[in-house]
Amino acid sequence: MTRRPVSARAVGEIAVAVVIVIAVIVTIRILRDSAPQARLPHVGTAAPDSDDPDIVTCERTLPDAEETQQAIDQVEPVGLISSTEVLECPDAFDQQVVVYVGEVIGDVLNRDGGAWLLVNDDDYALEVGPLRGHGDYRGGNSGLAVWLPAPLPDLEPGRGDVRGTVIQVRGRIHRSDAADGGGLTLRALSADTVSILREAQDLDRPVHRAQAVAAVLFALLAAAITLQARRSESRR
Amino acid sequence: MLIRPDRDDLQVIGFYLGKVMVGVGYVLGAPMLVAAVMGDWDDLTAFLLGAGLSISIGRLAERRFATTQQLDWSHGLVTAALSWLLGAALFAVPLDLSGHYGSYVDAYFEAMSGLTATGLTLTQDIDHMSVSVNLLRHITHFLGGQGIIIVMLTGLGSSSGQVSTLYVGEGRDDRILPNVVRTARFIYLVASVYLVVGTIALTLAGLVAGFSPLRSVIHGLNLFMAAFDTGGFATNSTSISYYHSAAIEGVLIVLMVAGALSFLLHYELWRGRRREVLENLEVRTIAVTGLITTSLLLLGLARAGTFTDVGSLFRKGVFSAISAHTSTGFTVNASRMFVTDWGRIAPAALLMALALGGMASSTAGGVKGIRVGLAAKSVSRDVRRAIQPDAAVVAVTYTQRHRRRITDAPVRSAITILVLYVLLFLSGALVGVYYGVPFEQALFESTSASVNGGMSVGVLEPGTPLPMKLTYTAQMWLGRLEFMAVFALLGYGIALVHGRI
Repeated sequence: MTRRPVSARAVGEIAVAVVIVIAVIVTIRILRDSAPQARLPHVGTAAPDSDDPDIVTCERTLPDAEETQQAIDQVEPVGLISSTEVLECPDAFDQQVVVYVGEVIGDVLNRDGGAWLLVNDDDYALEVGPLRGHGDYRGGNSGLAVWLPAPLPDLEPGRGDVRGTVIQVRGRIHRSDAADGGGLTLRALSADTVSILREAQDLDRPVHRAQAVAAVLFALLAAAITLQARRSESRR
Repeated sequence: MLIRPDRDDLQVIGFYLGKVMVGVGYVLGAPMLVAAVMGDWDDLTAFLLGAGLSISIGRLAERRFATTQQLDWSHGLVTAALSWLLGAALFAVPLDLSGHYGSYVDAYFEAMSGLTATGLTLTQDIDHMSVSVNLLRHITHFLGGQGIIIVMLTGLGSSSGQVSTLYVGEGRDDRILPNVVRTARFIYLVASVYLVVGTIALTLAGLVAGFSPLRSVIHGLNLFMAAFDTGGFATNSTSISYYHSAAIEGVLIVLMVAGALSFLLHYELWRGRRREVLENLEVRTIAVTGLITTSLLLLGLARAGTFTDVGSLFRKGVFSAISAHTSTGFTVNASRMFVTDWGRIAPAALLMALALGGMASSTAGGVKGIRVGLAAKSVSRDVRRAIQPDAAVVAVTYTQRHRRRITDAPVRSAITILVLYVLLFLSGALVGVYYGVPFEQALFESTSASVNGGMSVGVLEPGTPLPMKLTYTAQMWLGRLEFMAVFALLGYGIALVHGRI
């Protein structure tokens, strides 16, 4: 069988197709990024206050000595903390009474006379609001698992289209919470130590016009090519 | 002499790539429908754009490169390697437009991580991600876990002869039934049965955990796809610790193990041959390595005092060990806690489990039990030969569907792939070290990407230097295709430039 070399035209066609696709994607991305941003109002500081906990080591070496309940009860409160600090040095915060501020996220898991929450204190929760409302990238999320005893305040969790309720919790950090199968948790001291700092807020995310127009054009193009291909097949 | 691929070669590759692109477009219909139901209109236009783009280019490629020529081995391998690159590029379009990725490269990383069932993520503010975009991430697991090309081509009516080389190119080597299309349909039958049963079980467990019915179904479906396809994506930033539910963790363990079993073994079980499970070399190997890594992990956690009671130690330890050994990558603690709270032995045990992985021709990654088992059997044979008289004949056998005698060819092949994986782990780790990451952490992250494991010690994040992101992306691709298809593609590229007609 004769082998036919690849023609320069075929290579050119492939290159043009690739360039067109990249151009479309880049153009839409630029248009999206330059669109006006709906930034939500600042909620309040997420940074720890001046009473920074005195962290000795961030790396676990040997098991803890068993602590007595009396010793745990005598621990001095360490003030406002952030989830990043706790995750970097869980051992240093174990059994500490802390104040934590963050946005309720995802779902309120009501059970066993209380509820489990994920409470984030990252920039999206406390500074700039959910990312989809603007284009200010601040990295991933960060938060703590929080247990609230009943009665619960009226909480609306943050999701795709909602900035959730922002709460302040005064509670105790459990590096390994046996009641949660060993998870790192913050248990509110009582229902009274939970307060709402900001109510939930619905997000308005308008359809991006350039993206919508491009989507319709490509959908029509795809439909036209598909129909034509089907017609050619049926003729054959 | 290298033979330069000619026009016919490129035509047949282009034709099948076109079919795969059309398939990607159709798949985007599912999250589009969900976006419409949930009222996520901006996301809907992103899916429509991605689908329109994929179908348009795919159909044009099908027309431009129309051919009745059959795929030979080299075509199959090259098409498989390119399909995974292109598939990720197209799935990355709606992901990028969702606004949750710092750049298209990040979205591409995410799509590759999804398709290769790795589970590493560069998503920013995932906790405010819409249901439809999150569903797309998990659908990529479902597609990639079973094999993207097989799904596309069998779904679009290609014949068995046409797709058989692609089946091998995707890192599958067991043909369960004589015909590849029937094999692919069996794989999807198994996945569909698990999909229904697994989603129902997770939904019920979710209801008990305190979710509303709708949210329970959403979480159940996504969790199923991430667990059975041993992917490891989660709908939120805290992975499985979000659920605070032993029941959900229990169902996930069953699904992860089911996903890590080869489809051939599912077939044997389907036919009632339970004996195969007990005699199969790969099952035995994984049972032994699983026991060793789990024991090491528990020992390490106990020594570090990570958990304060035995119940927690076993619950978190066993879940993490299974998640790593099946290459799923679900976690029950924040990533940083592997470094800050797990001591040194437990993360090392996790790393070992990740590297070993599940069974060949399953949804799992890793170097695979069969290769470890063959290498171990080969060592045993050599030792027995060394201690027997010269005239003695040493025969070592193993069971893999049938009783087989160990020969040099499969052992050489297994050891070659093992060595390639080790080189891949180390090369990725060196890139991390170059950018200032401590060696142990760089090795963990590199291994996790290479074996499509998905666990992270926090090295990978949106701010990670671009070369590291690209390295991990390439590692995920190489690891999923188990090298051969990628090497064939490189060879094709070299032949295009230096070959002769």
